[in-house]
Amino acid sequence: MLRLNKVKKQYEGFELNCTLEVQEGCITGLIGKNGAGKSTTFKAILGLISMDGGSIEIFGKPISDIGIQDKEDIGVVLSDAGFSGYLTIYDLIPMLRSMYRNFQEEEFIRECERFRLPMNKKIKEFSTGMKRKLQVVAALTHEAKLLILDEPTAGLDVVARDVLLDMLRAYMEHEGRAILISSHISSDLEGLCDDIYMINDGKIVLYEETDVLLDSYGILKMTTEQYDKLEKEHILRCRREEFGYSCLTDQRQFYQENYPEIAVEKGTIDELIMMMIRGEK
Amino acid sequence: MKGLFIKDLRLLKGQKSFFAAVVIMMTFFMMTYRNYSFVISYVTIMFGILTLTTMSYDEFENGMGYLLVLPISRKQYVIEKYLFSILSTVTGLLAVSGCAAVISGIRNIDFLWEDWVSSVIGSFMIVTIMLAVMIPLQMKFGAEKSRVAMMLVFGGGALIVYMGMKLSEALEIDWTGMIEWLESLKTAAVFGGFFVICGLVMVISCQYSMHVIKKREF
Repeated sequence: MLRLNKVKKQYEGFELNCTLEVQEGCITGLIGKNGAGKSTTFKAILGLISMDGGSIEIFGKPISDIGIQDKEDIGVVLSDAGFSGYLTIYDLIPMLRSMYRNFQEEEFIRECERFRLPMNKKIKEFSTGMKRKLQVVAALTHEAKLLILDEPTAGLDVVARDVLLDMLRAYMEHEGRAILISSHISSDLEGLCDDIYMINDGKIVLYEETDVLLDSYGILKMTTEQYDKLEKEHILRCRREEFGYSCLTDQRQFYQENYPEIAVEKGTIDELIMMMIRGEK
Repeated sequence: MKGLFIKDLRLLKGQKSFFAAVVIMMTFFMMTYRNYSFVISYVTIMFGILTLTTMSYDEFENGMGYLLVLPISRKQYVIEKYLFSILSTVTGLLAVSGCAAVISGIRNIDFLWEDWVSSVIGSFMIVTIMLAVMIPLQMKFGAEKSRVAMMLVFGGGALIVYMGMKLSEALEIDWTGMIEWLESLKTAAVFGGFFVICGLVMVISCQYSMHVIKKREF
């Protein structure tokens, strides 16, 4: 569905170098701290910024060949942009109807009402969460094949986040669809994504299926003496702590079986991210 | 492109205070003055530059980036802006001309065809120059920064005109023949020639805007 091959973009003090793939039928997550390159990656995919190198393919076509009809098959949420604040939802309806052949007008109105979005109020008066909900509803109601969602849950309360994630799960019940999603709330991605890319300083530092990440990865906590004796073959990152060392492994069971004296924790995705980013190789 | 037209019309729907101000000004001038040249130019120009307002609204909170991920192309966006500007200018002209015809009839004012033609030419010239310069500037720099760029461009333009006048004085170029030739032309010829020139200026400006927006990052 979507393939990025060594996509490069240089800014002063930042360089993106990203390779990732989103398979049909999959929800792929992109996680990383603020400024890691998530939004730059999304903008490159959507052709909003030029690339300094590499290639991007959507639906098997280079992005330079992506036409208006292909764009109808893509639903987008951007973290730092949205519909003009001077329009109302009622203004958007005829506009979206004439832009998308498969615009589901009734569903759009129904979902807007479900999220209690005011139909006659200018969008600039919406809260951040309301603007995000509107973008999500618009992205989901024209039968897109690919959703590109940059921080769709930002600014949403817990209930709205849950509703939105359910909507994404329902969207994926149809065949031939895929989602690329980023979020700074990793618990959102834990329960949603099939696979996860972790990006840091513009580079993909980890790719793993979510199940493997949660089942096989772990954090070891040990004293300096225990660390010195440890087999480090399956250690991905280490960090010096007051008590000794914390280590990230992708073979949790191996250490649980062979080093019963060491504390082995399953670790949340947030903890794994922290270790990948702040730990040393 | 239909979606873009709908968006721009809906954006203008929110400009009730602007339209109310234009109607009040127009009514005031038509009821108090006997020459309608100014009011026709004024309304036509105000309607002509509405496109720039829609562009500012598109830019609001980085909205352009989101607009361009919808099923439209950058080229379509540019073309729509130029077509919309022509449409809004002509609408303004027709509306004010209609009002002028009715009110001049009621007030028994002899509103001359020649006055109307000169108003149309004057206002179209101003609208063409403003849009041909401002649309590409706004495409390149966005609504805020383009104001500074506009001042520089119009300042530079005024300087060039001034230098040209001084130069023609120094070289003792006689423009009388040219002016007499223009005056000898028939109204239709002047009108036609003028619109061809305006059209060419807009086409050149449109081409440049396409070049600008193609390179812009959002």
